[in-house]
Amino acid sequence: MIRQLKLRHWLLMVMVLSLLVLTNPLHRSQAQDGGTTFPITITDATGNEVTIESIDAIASGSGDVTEIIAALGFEDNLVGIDISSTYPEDLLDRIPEIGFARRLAVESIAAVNPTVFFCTETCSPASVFDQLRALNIPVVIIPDNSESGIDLPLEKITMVAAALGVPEQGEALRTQVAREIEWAKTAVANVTEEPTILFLYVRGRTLQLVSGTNTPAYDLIATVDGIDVGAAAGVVGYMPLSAEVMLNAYPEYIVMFQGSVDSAGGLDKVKELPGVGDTPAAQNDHILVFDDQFILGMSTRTGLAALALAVQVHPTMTWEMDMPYPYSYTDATGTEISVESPVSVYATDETLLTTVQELGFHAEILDTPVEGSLIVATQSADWASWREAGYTVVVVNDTADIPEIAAALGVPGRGEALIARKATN
Amino acid sequence: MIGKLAVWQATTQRYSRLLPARIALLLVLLVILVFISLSAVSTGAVSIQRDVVFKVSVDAMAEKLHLDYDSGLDYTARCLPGQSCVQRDAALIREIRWPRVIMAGLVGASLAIAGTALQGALRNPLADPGLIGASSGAAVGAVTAILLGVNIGDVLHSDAPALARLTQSLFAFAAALITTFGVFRLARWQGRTDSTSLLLIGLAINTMASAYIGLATFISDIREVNDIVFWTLGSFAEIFWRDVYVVVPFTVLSVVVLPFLARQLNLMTLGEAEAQHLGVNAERLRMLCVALAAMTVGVSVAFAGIIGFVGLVVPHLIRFFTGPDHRIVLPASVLTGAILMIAADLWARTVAVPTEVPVGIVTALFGGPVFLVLIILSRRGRS
Amino acid sequence: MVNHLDAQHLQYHIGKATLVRDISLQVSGGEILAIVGPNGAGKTTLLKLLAGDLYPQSGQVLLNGQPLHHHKPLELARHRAVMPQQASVSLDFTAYEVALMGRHPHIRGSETREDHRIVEEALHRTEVLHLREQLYATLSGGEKARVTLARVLAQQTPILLLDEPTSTLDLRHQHMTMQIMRERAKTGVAVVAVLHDLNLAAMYADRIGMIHSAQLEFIGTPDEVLTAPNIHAVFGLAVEVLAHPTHQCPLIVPLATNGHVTTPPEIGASAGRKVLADQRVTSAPHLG
Repeated sequence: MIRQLKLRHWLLMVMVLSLLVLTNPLHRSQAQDGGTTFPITITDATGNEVTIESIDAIASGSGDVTEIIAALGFEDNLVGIDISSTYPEDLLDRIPEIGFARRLAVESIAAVNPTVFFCTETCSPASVFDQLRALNIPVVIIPDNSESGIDLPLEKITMVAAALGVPEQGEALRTQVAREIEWAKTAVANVTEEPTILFLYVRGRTLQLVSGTNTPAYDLIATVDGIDVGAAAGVVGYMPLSAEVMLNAYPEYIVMFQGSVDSAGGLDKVKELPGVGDTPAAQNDHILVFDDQFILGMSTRTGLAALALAVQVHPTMTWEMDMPYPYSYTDATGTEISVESPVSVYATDETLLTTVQELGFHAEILDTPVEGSLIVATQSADWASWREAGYTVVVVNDTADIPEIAAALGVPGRGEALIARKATN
Repeated sequence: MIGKLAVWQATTQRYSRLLPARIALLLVLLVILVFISLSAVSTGAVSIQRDVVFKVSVDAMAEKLHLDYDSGLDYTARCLPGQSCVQRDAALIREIRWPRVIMAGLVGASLAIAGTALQGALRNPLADPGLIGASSGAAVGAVTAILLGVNIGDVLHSDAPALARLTQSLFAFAAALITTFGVFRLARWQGRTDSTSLLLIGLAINTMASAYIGLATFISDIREVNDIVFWTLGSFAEIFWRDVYVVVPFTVLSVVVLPFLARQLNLMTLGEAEAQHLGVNAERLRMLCVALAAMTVGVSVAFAGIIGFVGLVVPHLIRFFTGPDHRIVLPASVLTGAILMIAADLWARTVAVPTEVPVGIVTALFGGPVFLVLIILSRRGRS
Repeated sequence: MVNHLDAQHLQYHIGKATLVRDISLQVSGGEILAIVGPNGAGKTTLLKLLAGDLYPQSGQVLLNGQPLHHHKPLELARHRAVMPQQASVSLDFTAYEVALMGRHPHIRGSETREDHRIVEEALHRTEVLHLREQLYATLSGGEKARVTLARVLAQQTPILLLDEPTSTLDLRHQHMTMQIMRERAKTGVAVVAVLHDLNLAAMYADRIGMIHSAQLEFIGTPDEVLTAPNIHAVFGLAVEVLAHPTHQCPLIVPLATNGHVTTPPEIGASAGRKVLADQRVTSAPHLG
């Protein structure tokens, strides 16, 4: 009896132990590594050979890198992030802050005892990297060079994934972001108008800069077939705002950071800046405000950012080009709907219609639909009879939110972009 | 006759007591300097136990001096992710904090002694290393290097960030010397240098320099602006041992040579002609002081950026307590400059963790009010 | 020790303005040479040339037979002391410290008891010993002048050059200053003093040089130089020269006509120059 009990005791202990080992976060992260064993050595953006012993404690000095690390599933390994790491949104509440990408201090980074430090080429001061190396903390510099244009996020992802030992996951993320960027490009491929766009950076009342070539803003504007009037006016990099520059540029749209608008004291104050109020952009309320990291972070959401911008600056834009047709979707009634390329789209009520239109579809209120149309209906509407009449009907919940509607229309990415846009406006 | 004798004895006694009092003051300042240095090394965003700090420091010193001493601290303990370990703390203390604290001390001492020497040699209590163009010249040099994007690394086919910094420092140092020389050349008239026109020309040069820096800030991109801000507001955040080794000889040169000129500087307060009557080669003394000041300040600014007010305020602060005799003011300002700069840097890097405040802001923040108080107090003391 | 200052044909001008024109004079140990003359005559410039502050454009000053600029500043400082017209001190030194600076040319290392003794004696002699701990800058003009005099005395040089040493002093201290000069002269010191007070010059100087418009017009004993015609010629002032009641020296008293000692100058005319031109015809000047 006693012997048996002892044996069971042992068995239990072994089971508990193996369970512990299996669920151990350290162990799990190794599982995520996809078999890569540390240390690994990579060549980073500055050409340095970096040997990474462990990625158990990651510090990230730049928001775009943080975003990629989180997207690759290493959010829990982050022990310190910089203040520009605003996505995923709640990271800064949970993870210690280590300063700001442009004003790094070695001790603040060392204080979180990272096993590896990530930052980009634009992080400064660069001597912090040397100081960290002196503390035996490997430093991985991620490319951040305007020469790469809109493909910069892809390069960043590849480098981060390589440093984390998960090249396959990196490839998957890269493909996803590349596809989103491609969506944005195809979405604007058949628009005829070329909106004039200016990116305006404001910091309080002391610093106002417009961007030109060699900036992420230029690449983003080019991606959505806009004309960067800053670049057209001869601006390279960033140049101080003046009424002269503004009138010379004469933009139809002005793109701004939410942070810029806040620091200026609101949109009204922005319009009081020299020359800004006289632009068509200000007069037609076409000052587009986005989250800083979302719109120009050049990271995992850049495709969505390009889409969000494209939607705003191309009112006539149709989305046919990026439709993943045919697609199938299991709707709120549990029916699997297969959608061929629809002739046009109808919605059963005004609220639904607004969202559908916002998602970039040319839709109308359901009245007398043409044959081959797609009908988006709420559950309380008379969807059954339309289905019987042979139309393709996708049913959504009465309280359907944007992601659901976007998914029903086969464009979940566009839904995300719309949410982001709404959040920033 | 007896009365007269008594007076003589009293004065002689007073002056015989002066030397021990001055030595005592310097000793007290030295103790404070050691104390503040140790506190600065023990304090930072990473908290390290004091005994570890001391043991690491002593071990490092023993190693450098080839002494057979071992504190018994275990450096081999494995570093666990997310936890501090002796190995990293030791590296932090040796490679980051000590060079930083020592550089702050050197720069503080350099600026203070340069300010004292200039105020004496130019007979102007407003003279400041910045006023003769050394600081702004250095900043102009550094900013030019940033704007042109020159980098020794390009020649050496290396893109280590340290080389870009070194290039900027070299430009800064060269420009500091050129500017100071230019100011002097312009102020020289008929074989003599007039102090007032020297300061006015310095002012004009400074105005041009700040205009140039302002322009540079305006036309450069955000990244370069960051670098320029570093040069114009000063920081010890990017100091390595190699920088310390460059600055040491210059500071030591000034600290050793200038006290020998102390009595001549005293005589300069009578006026140039009077000093000359008493056997001082006023022109040569001034050139020597300015050359030393320009060199020390130039090399300080080259590595730490422009740090205002120390060179101006420290001499006034010392004189307020010791009187104007340069024989005590010069060495005391060396120590006090070092103490204040280490303290200012300590504050600058700990007040806003996880970021740092530029140390030039801190010195101006505290230096300004201190200067005002000194002016008011010394005015009261006179009436 | 032979203390001999020999100025030979000194010429000094700034631009077109000639400040000293062909002045030659000698002064030797044991005598006081007073330099007098109207404002702007070039007295101070002459003293600066003698002190070596200025280099003459032509001519030279010999110190014991050697040109002045052959001496190093420190060596020069052991030979001659200079008392400036006004002395300001840019930092808060005490009266004692200022006087102590006079010892600089003699100090090797740091001051000795002997240095302190000399300084105190000098301060005592100029009657400012009680002010020794006061800040120099807070002293009155006369007190400053006496402290400066003490500094000059503490320098213990065989040649003393004084630029209006008595201008800020009260009557007692004017005489005190000149008495000190007499005492020094007696010990073999050569004294050159620019003076404004002709009576003071008459009482204490061995010789007087009278300068007018950059030129040394007269030089000689007080009796020879301080004559009514000379004074009228140089200063443009009518005076009567009396015998001093107790001293063996002339006493100059300005003459008043209708209650006025001077008359306003005519516009465009230099009174003194014209009178001097007349004077030259009648009386041969004593050129040194």
